[in-house]
Amino acid sequence: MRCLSLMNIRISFENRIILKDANAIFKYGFNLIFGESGSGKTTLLKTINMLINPDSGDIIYDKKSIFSIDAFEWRRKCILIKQSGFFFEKTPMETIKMPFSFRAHKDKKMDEDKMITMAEKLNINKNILNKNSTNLSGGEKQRIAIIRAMLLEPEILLFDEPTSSLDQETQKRTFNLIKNYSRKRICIVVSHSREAENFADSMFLIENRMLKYD
Amino acid sequence: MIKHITLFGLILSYGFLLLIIFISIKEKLSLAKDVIISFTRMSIQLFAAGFLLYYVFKIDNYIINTVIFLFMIFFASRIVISRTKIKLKNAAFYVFISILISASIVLSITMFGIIRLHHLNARYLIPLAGMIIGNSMNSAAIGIERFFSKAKDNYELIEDLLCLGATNTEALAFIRKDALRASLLPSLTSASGMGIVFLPGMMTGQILSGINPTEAVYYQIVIVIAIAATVCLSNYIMFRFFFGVRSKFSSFR
Repeated sequence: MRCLSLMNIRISFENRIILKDANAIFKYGFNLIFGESGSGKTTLLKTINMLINPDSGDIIYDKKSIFSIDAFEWRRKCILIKQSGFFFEKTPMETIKMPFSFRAHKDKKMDEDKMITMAEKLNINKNILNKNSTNLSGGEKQRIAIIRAMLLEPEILLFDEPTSSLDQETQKRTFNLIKNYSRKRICIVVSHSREAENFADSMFLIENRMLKYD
Repeated sequence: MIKHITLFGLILSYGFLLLIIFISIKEKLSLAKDVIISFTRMSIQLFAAGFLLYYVFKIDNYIINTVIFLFMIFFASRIVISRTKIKLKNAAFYVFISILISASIVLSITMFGIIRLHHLNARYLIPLAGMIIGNSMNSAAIGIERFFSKAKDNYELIEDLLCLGATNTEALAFIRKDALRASLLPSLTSASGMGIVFLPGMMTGQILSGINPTEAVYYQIVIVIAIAATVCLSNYIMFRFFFGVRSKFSSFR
């Protein structure tokens, strides 16, 4: 079983230290990170996704430093679902299919049945998949972004507040789906929601610029 | 036969400037000084250009012609960068190369294939290159402006695509599309107005110098198409191979 290890990661942004000496091992399953807003949870995910470079330290996956490979190469295996600001094509369906045309995912094929099952599990009406994207609510967009990323079947999937625009019931469904999905891969979920704790396999806390096991 | 403008006629035309100065003073536009400076500048620049061209045409050496061609593109790319105010390493070089490649291709085909010249004739090269490069310059400025302002406004969306594994080129495809469209639009607008709204400068010049209007039309059509092709190609090269591909994503923020 592969794992993702953070080794003495130090991150700063605009001369402000956000995380110092972060050490952690993320294994297969639902890894939950919580912490107050502004504590650096999103920055940590972006660092793992190679959108931000750490000041020092290393991230090891499958016995190799991720910084030894190209960022695009890394994102074939490790995908980040942001909290908002998603790129949408005309319809949700086109949006979900789009990343399969990227060079990184050319060899993958989209499983349409899986998509329908996921949509059902996340309380997304099948009919809206071919309607105009502009009419979607924030919560619908967030769930479609989750489906879009999950269908790419990365080895590591990072979720930034995946349920921030969802009601209690849909939150549960979403965490449940992530839980099942994380059996065969590493899922790292940043969340404020108390609900998430019921699903997590391991928990981490960011406090005073330190990342701790909980 | 064409009527030449005499020195007296030229001096008389400067009289029109008095009209502008008069209105400026009467309406307190405080432009009188600017009018004198800019029209003096224009006169000196044009006389210098006319003088220089006289000899360039006379010598008509392909090395000199090529150097002038390169100089025109060099200044055009500097103007583009100073006008768009982008602070990106090598930006002026990217514009230079893009215009150089596209203008060279289009001009070679136009001069040797369409007009069927036998050598790099300065009398053709310099005015044609001037029109082509001048238009590419304007369109590049519009395109670059749009590219960077749209990339800045859509930073979040670009980031989303990168998170999903897109390359820079893939993540910027929708921005590139928009910038290309914006840079091409002025050429299309001016093409549709030609002949009805205005007579283009080159055709006017040829008619004034005694060429049959129907013949002048041939030249005008050739040059308008050549301009549009260069504009399109130079912007395509710029956005497909340089901006956003070779620059760091964070520079769009």
